[in-house]
Amino acid sequence: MWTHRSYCLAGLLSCILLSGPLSAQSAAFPDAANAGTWPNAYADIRAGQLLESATALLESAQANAAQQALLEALQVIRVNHGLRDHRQIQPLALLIESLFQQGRWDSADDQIAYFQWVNNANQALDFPAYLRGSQTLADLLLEASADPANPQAVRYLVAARNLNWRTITAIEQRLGRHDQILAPWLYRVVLNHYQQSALIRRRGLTSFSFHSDADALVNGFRLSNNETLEMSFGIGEELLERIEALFPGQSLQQALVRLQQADWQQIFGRRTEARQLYEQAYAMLQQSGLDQQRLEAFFNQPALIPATQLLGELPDYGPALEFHAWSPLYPGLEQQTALRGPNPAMHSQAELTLDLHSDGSLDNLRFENIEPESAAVKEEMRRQAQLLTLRPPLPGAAQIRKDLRLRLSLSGFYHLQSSPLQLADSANQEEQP
Amino acid sequence: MTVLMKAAMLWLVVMTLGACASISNEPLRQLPSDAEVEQYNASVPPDEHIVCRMERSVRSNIPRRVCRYVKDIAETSAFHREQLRRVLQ
Repeated sequence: MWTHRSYCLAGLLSCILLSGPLSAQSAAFPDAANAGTWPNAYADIRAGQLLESATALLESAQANAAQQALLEALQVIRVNHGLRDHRQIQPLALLIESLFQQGRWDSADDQIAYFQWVNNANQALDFPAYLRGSQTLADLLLEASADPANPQAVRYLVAARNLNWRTITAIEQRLGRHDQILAPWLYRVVLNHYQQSALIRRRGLTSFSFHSDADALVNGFRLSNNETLEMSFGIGEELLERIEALFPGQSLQQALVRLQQADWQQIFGRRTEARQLYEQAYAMLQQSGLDQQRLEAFFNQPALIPATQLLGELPDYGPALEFHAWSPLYPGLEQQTALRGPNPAMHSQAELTLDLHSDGSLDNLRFENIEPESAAVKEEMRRQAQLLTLRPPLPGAAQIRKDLRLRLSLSGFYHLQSSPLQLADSANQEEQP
Repeated sequence: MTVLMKAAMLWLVVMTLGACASISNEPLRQLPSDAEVEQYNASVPPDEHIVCRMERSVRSNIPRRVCRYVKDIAETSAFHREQLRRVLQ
């Protein structure tokens, strides 16, 4: 008779019999016994460690080593969380950054496409994360478009603008056309058009057409410079009006957008329209309950336009104008993104004084000190300073403001040290139709 | 005489206004703005891009906004090139 006890004994016996050969195997291969203590190459914790070391490598300009670490980190994340997991976004952004630093534009394009695929997969699951991912990628694309070593700088600007538009479309589909979350995204497109207009004004750029070597049209179409500038101005004007309409009943916010509408007119040389809009903005700010003294002080302070962000409150400007030039490809434009830290070895700065006229024009530039002392750096500084646009003084203020102080700095303008002429050449290569 | 002149003038004015009205009888089309076109183009492949610009037609000197698909422009110009080539042969 088989009882419970006999079943139990039979079970124990079979366990002993089965474990026998295994123990023998462990004795023959001592390493196998320690298999539990082996480091797991795909342990989840490794992704964070690799990311940390890659960040340090990128900061010390070891882009190739950083790239290897980031590829490994991505593999660990994929193994643990799947191919579409949003945790890949951060290492992917750093990977693209490392490829930019190495000038490996083709590989960067592949990773950008993968970034977009992962981010789009995330859209339905975590919309705020999708928006953050889009912003990161748009900043990266802008950064690439500002790199003088990039042979296709304009293509990256167009890609950044298209990505901003697609994000706007996604927001509209999810939250509607009147959600205030649209405002900063619409302003990003406005800035993209300002950047585009800076490129168009450069000599040598006649169109935004990109043709492949074959007969096929790759992207874009051909327009005259004036037509393109007119279109950029019109789109910016329309979008700023749309931003204002997103804040019904919010008088301060509407007044600040009106101020930025005036700045837009001023940038494109429409001074009469700008003057009218400045006056309207002044009246609206007054009505919104702002302190009169602060308002007067604000309008009498010189300010560089356009603002790099949509204004949320009346900004306080310092006594001196500060301008950090973005790139030799975009003269007169302020640094848009802080993704790539300036390399101190390539940093140059100057202090200069200038006069501002009532129409917003600048003249009488005088350098007070410049570092490093170099004819090429000085020439670039002068070129940048002459292209700046300032908000004009209000009627009633002094018609000419003399001796305005401007602190100007350039970072990453590494070509300047060797041959400044290369800048223009590399910038104009692909735009020639 | 003056009455006849006035009647003739009135008839002329009515006919002129009528002629204008006949133009506006065409179905009204709300063409997309440049920003809308750009937003659309950002989400579609290059072949499906739209281009809008001001053009003067043969019968009028007043520029009108015209929008076309890039694909159609390419096909039309290829067709015209082919026709020209046949004529010149």
